[in-house]
Order: sequence, then C-alpha cells, then structure tokens
Amino acid sequence: MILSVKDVYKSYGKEQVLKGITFEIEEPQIIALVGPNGSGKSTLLNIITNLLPADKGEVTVLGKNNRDPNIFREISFMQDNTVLYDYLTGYDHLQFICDVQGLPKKQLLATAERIGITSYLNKKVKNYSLGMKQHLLLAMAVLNKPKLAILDEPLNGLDPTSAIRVRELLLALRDEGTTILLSSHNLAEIDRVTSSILFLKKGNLIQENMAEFEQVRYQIKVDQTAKAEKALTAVGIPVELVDERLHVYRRDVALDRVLHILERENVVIDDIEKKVFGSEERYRKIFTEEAKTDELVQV
Amino acid sequence: MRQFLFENKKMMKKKSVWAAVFITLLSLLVLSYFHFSAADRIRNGNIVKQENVLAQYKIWIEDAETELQIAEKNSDAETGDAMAAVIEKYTQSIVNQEKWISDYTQREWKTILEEDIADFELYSSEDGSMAIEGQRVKSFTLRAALEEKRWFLKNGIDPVVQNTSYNLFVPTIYEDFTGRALDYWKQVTARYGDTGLTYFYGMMPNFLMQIFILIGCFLFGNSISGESGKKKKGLQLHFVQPVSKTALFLSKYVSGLTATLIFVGLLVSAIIMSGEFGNGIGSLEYPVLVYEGAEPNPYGSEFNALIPENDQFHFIPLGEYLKDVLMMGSGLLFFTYSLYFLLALGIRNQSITILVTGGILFGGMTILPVSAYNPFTYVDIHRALNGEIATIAFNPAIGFQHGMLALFVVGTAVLLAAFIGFHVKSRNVAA
Amino acid sequence: MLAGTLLLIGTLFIRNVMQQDVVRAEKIEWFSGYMQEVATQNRTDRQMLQETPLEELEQKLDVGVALQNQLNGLILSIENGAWEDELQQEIDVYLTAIDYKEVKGNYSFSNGDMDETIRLNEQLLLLGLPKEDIGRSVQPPLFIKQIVSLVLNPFGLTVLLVLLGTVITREFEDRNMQMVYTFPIPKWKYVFVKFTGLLLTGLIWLSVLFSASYLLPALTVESKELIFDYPLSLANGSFLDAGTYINEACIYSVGVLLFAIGVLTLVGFMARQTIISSVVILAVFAGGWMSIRNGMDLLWNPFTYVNVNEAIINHADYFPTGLIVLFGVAAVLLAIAMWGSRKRGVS
Repeated sequence: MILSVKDVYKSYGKEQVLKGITFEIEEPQIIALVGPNGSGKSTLLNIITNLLPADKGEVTVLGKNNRDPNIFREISFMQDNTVLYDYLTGYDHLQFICDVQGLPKKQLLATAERIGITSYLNKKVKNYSLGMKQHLLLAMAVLNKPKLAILDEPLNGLDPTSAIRVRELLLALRDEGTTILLSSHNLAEIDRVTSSILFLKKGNLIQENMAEFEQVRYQIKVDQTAKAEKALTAVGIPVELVDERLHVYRRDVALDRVLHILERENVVIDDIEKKVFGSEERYRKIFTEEAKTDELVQV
Repeated sequence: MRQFLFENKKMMKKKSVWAAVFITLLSLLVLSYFHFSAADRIRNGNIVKQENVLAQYKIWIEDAETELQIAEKNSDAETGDAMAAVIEKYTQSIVNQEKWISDYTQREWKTILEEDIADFELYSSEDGSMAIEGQRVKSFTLRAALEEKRWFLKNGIDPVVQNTSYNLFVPTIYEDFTGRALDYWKQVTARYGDTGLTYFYGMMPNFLMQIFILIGCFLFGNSISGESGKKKKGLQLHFVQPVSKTALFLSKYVSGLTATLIFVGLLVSAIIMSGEFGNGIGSLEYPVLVYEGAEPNPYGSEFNALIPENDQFHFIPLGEYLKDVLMMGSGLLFFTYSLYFLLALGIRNQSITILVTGGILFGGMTILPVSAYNPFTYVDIHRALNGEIATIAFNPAIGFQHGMLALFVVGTAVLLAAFIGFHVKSRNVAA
Repeated sequence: MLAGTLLLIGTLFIRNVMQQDVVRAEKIEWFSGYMQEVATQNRTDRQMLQETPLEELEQKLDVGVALQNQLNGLILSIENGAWEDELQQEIDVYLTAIDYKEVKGNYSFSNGDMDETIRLNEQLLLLGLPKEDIGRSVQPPLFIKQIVSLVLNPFGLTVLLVLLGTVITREFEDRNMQMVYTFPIPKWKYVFVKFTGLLLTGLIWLSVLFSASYLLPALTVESKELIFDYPLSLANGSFLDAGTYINEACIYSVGVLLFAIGVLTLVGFMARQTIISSVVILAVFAGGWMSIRNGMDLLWNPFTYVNVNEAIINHADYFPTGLIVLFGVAAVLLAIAMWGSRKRGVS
C-alpha cells in the first residue's frame, strides 16, 4: 500500500472542509486531485504530509503512520513557492535536502540537470521567475527519488515548453515506479498524464478512473447524411445527427469500422473531427449543475 | 547538526541582518566617539577653570605689587610687608597651580591624588565633614571616595573625568540629597569614562548590556516566527524532511542563541575597543565599588536601615567585575532569548515581540518583589553584582551565584515552554 | 498601540490614587527628619548653655526652638489635612530656617530651595490651591504632565516609531509595494500619502493620549477650581501655569510627532526592511538623547524637543521658535524621502 487515507475529517471553525475522506493508492500511477479553490485540496495534502492534524481519521504512507518524519526519506511534498528562502540560491536549497537526506552531491547535480535548472542554480531565489521557482520546487521534490511524490500545483506558472517538459518528467517518474499525487487546475494537462482523478466536492471525494469516463466522439460530415445514418444504424451502431453531422462514439465502435461501412455504401466523407470528453467535462458535470454535455474539449 | 549548519548558513546569507549588525556597530562607534569627545571637552573645561584661577592669582599679584609700590612711596612699612607676603603667597600658589595644571594635563595623578586623599582624610575624620547646600555628604560616601583614591594611587590608575577636578566624589546609594543639592551632587558625581573599560563600566548602570541583548534577540531570534508567516513559509520545508521536530527546534534555537551571544560579545568588544577614540582601552585594575550591605535587623524588617557610619564596602578590580558581568550577561541573554523565542512563537510581528520582551523584562524588574531567586532581580546586572540591590533589600543572598542559578533555572523553564509551544504550533504549521 | 497606551494611563492613574496617603506619610517623614535635626541641636545647645552661657548660642537656641515648634505645627497640619495651614506653616518654617542658618544653625535644605518653595506656596495660597506631588497627582493637568514626561520622550517615541515603522517596511517585505507602484500616481506622491497616513495615525494616538489622561482623572476625581492655574517651576526660576504647560505640550507633541514621522518615512523608504529601519531609528534617537545629555540641547537641535516636558521646563525661551525647527526639519526629511524614491524601483 503506497497511501491509505481513512475517514479523514477536518473543520475550520464551523466550516467542515473534509467530511470523511477515504481513498487508497496501491500501485504506482499518477493521480490528480481536482476541485475548485477552497475545496480543501491543499488541506488534504497537508494532512497527508502531517503539516496539519486531521480532526479524525488515519493516514498511512508506505505502511507507516504519517507522523513519522522518516517517511520523508521515501516520499516528498512539493509545496508552493512561499517555502523558498529568497536570500538563498537554488543550490543551497537542494544541498540542504541532500544534507538532511544523506544524498550524494552527484544526485543533486543530476537532478538539476534533469529538471533543467543548472543554468540558474547559483542565483538567489529572489531573482527567479515564477516558472524557475516551480522548477526548483520540483527538483527538490524529486531529489530523493521518492516512492510517492505529492505535488501541489506543479504546473502553476509554467510556460508551454516547461509544461511539456514537466509532463514528460512526470510520466518518466511514473515509469520509474514513482507514484505521483498532484493537485492542479490545469485539466488539459491532467488528461494527458493522469490515470485517475480525485474530485473533491464539498468535503467529499469522488474518485474516478479516467478510462471509465473519458469519451472520444467522431463527428463525420458526409455527402449523403440520411443514407449514411441508415447504413450505420442498420448494423447496430448508435448514431446521433447534430447539425448535419453524424456523431458516433469510440466506446461503441472503432473508427475503422465506421469508415469501412460508409465506403461500402459509397458515401463520400467530407470531414472527420475527433472530440474528447475528458476531465474538464467531467469536472463541469460534477461541480456545475448546468454543465452542458456537448461542450467538449478539442484535442 | 546538518540542520544547525543550514540555520547558520541562512543567517550568514541574510544581507539585511548583516546590514543591521553593521549599522548597530557603526552607530555604537559614532556614539562612543561623541562620548569621548564630550569627556575630553569636560576635561579641557576643568583645565580652563584652573587656568582662570591662575590668571586670577596673577591679577591679585599685580594688584598687590601696585599697592606695594604705593606703600613704598608712602614709606608704609606695615602695608609693604603685608603686600610682600601676599605676593609671595600668590607666587607660590601660581607655582602650585601651574604644577597642578601640568600634572592634570599630563595625567600625572600622584600629587593630585595625594592632596585629595589628605582632604578626604580630613572630611571623613571625626572632626571633619562635607556639605552641599547645607546637606551633609554621608560618611559612607566620604570613606568610599577616600578608599577609591587610595586604590588609584596604589595601583597607578587614572581617575575618570568628572565635572570637577578636585574633591572627586564617588556616587553611592547612601546619599539622599534633595532639591538643588541633589542637582549639584548629580553634576559633580557624573563620571565620563575616558578609556574603553571605564566607558563600558560607566554605561552598565544605563542598561547597556540589556539593550545589546534585546537588539540581538530582535535580529536573531526570529528563525521560527520569520518562517511561519502567510507569505514566508520556510518552516514547512523543514517539516517535510526526515528531521525530528526536536532537532529542528534545537537547531533554530541554538543557532539564534549563538548568533546573539556573538553579537553581544562583538558590541561589548567594540565599546571597549572604542576607548582608542579616548585615552586607550584602560586598565583592568580600575576600582569597582562593591557594597557589603547592612545586616537585617533582628527585631524585624521594618527596623532595617542603612547606617552610613557603619556599613561596609570594598573595591574589586574592573577585570573581576567584567568577568562577572559577562557571565551574568550570558545568563540574562539565555533567559531573555528564551523568552523572546517563546513570545515569537505567538507574535509574528518582531517589533511587537521585542517590545513585549523588553516590557516583561523591565516591568518584572520594577514590579516584582526583589528576591534572590527572582530572575528579574538580576536584569539590572550592574546593581546586582555591586551589591546595591542586596544592600537596599537587606538581602545578602542576592548576588552572583543565586543570580546565575535563577537565570539558568527560569531560563530553562522558559525554554521548555518554548519547546512545548513549538510542538503545539508545529502540529498546525500549515494552518 | 492604543490599548497599550490606555493600559499605561489606567495603571498609572490607579497607582497615583493609591499613593495619595503615601504622599502624606512621606511629607510627615520628611519634615520629622528636619525636626529631629533641629531638636538634636537644641538639646546640645541647651547643655552647652548650662555649661557656658553665650549670647550667640542663646540666640541660636531661641530661633531653634521656634523652628522646632513651627515644624511640629506643620506636621500637625499635614496630619489634619489642613492644606492652607500647611502651606502657610511651611513658609514660616523656611523663613525661620533661613534665620536659623544665619545664627549658625544646621538645616539641611538649601536657601535657594527654600526661597523657591516659599514663592510657590505664596502663589498657591493666592490661587487657593493645595500643593500637589507633581509625580503622583490625580488632578487632570498634573496627571497629563506626568503622562507627557513618561511617554513623550526619546524612549517612548522610539517605541512608537518601531511599531509604526512596519507599516512602510512590511509593504516592501511582503512585496505589496510592487502592486502599489503600478498605481497611476508618482512614487514621491505615494511617499507623501504614507507620511500623511502615519501622521494621522500618530495624531489619533496623541489625541487619545491627551484625552484619556484628562478624562480619567476629570471623571473619577473631584477637580479643584483653578487647577489649570497651578504654578509649575521652570528651570529659570519662574513659574508657568499648568494650563499653558498643557497647551505648549500639545503643540510641541504635534511638532515632535511631525519630526518623528519624518525620520520614520525617510528611514522606512530608504531601508525598506523592518530590522534595518528599527536599528537605524534606535540609533538616531539614542544619538539624539546622547547629544542632549552632552549639552547640545540647543534651539536648532530637533532632539531638544523630543523630551517634551524637559523642553518646556528647561527651555521656556525656545517656545514657539522650537516649533519652526521641528516643522522645518520634518519638511526637509520628507522632501529627501520623496526625492529619494522618485526613480528607485522595487525588486
């Protein structure tokens, strides 16, 4: 068991932020924690890392109680950039972690190289941009090659190039056996890296597998719409007709088969558009009552 | 240890702290320079006063010579003889005065002290007395002043600068002058150390060391409060490392304490070294008055009274006093720093923390009853060490040993409270 | 800060109320000491007269006995709380004591002090006011004077500035200034706005200080008629009535506040860090205090007025010119602060 959160409650005054959160992570994967501002994401991450006490509940990390500081030899927590010391360099921060974790200096340099912060490692943090600080925080979080990396908003403030690099890094870490629990508002990026999403709504957790809710829809424009619809329906493929376009779902049929049937019926295809129904739509469904299912995320 | 080194590294890299240390040092040296200039001005003023007396003698001689000439013209032998005697007397006075001025200017104290000792032997004898504006100087003060002069003479020590150049009194707690006599007494007993050591000694009753300690705490005691604000959360970085909270607390506490200790040591050294602006660093043999106190009255404390004729005193070398001041100062630093550290856990604004710490320290000293085991009794290090507090309170137990014990024990208790406070705070560090 | 000020005023007032009986006891003890001194001399003189009759000694004894009797009467008046008798008898005692000294009697109080007390008592009798212990009075103007002495001095002002100083430096430390400097107003104007804000805060604090010091005794203790005419001794030997003292204290306080906020604005905007600005302010006011102690309490030195009470009592002739000094120095400090911030950015 990598992480086990059982029946965790947390209130701030009269406001109950977490109402019995329970979830487990058993296998290395990337899991996203998603919720609107103030939904309790950071509170949950802080409770997992013992920076905040839960009113009730239990957290076990890699089989150990989360109050044991030695868990941080095997896990890491990337916090926001207010934890950085303005007057120290990036190197100072990494060296501190190396020192307290007993890591060799070469690991420091290798991590800096991997994250791409070598060029400004010896500059003071007060001279860093937001993105540079994010990179440093990420380097600090992966320096000890953790089994579980908890990342709070790792994609915040990154330019597109950096975002791509971080995404690749996260996937690589996952492949190396690191479990990543990240919170983010960037749902498009989440779609690209995560396998499971924890939606935090009004203190409750809704855990969903990406494979279960992710939908891919093909919107096909043809010269003989009625004929095409009839041909597909005839073989049992559900078809929706919207704005003179045929809508078919990947969960019902592979695109190859649709194309094959239409070709057989001598229907000419003018255009095909692929639409993904991903975490953003799911987010809308969960958090917005008026969510419109046809507003899809274009890839 | 690594945590401790990191704390030190952070401190070393904080430019603002270095700038504050530099500004403090610079200000101290500038103020010291002013002090030594003032001491020099007063000293020169004393010389000018004596030169005026010299000029007066010369005028009197000229007047006497004129009268002598007239007497000779008028064949007035009686007046002539009298005037010749006056001229001879003032001529001798001029010689003496010139010698005095030369000695004072050259800091040749032997003759001056011998004359002063003779005066004070007379004042403190049964037949003699000394009064200011009709109010008598107490026997204790006369005896102390006499002994101090003998010490100066015996050990070849220069007295410090005072607003007068003769009858150099030492101020004591036995005096109870009022009105103009008090103003005059304050003026003539105000002392201006003209060496680094005597300057330091003279500033001790003005809570110099305590102010240094408070500044030190202000600069170096914020390792927790400064990292647990809303915009600076460095403390959280430590909590997600494999470091025990005890080690974290101790490393933060000890690094700040060490820095404060070094800082106070630096300022004390600077103030002593600043004597180079004046008459050098000075001698460790300079006499420090220590009150031996009066015995408590066996019939009850309401009958306790200081008896200027009987109460005893002695002098110790400044070196010994300095050693005790540094030791007790370290004890007070430990106590004050622990208190500041504890308060800083709850107060994020360091300006308020330092004012509250200072308030508790000086409020406790003023309000709480004086006792051998009350650490606030020892906030006034100077008066605790020279026996002044023990004498006034008729409590001979108040002194160095009990002071160190009280400061250490209560300081440790405050440290423990800070440790518990830190543990409580650390449970909610991300709140 | 306001809470602390009110707490201080309240505590001091309660202490003064509690000290009223102590004041009387101390007066009795004080005059008993002198009576003992005179009585001892009288006893010795009587013995000596029995052995060798001397006219001089007889004269001394006569005056001594009269003095002893007057002292006794004075103590009784104090015990009975008959303040008018007390004032008149104190005058009589001192007049006799001066005579006693002339006939070689010992009376351990200087003639100058006695002259001053006689003049004060005569003034008080004219006004129909009892004598107050200036440091422990519960009468409004004298209590205000005590608060002014206690708070409006280099130490009190340093505390005020260290507390207020964070208003400027925190904005730099928390990077709020980065946002502020994007507002469509010139930087120098922002310095002025900050100065004005701090000045207003300081003025509110001052008004609370004076109002509370007045209202607390005025509402709880019966004020004596003409108490605002109470004569206060000045260093030059003349008297200043308490009402004028308070007017001058109020005016000086505003001037000193203006000067202090000027120092704070300049240091705050130059240093931009709490610890540095606090240390600089401490150094500036310690230096000012030291300059005054070393005889530089001159008209043009703004630090002369930082101790408002001493400025009024010791330098009566500096009023109101001293205000021009304070306003002028404040204006110069503010101008430097505004000029210095014109082109300086924030990082």
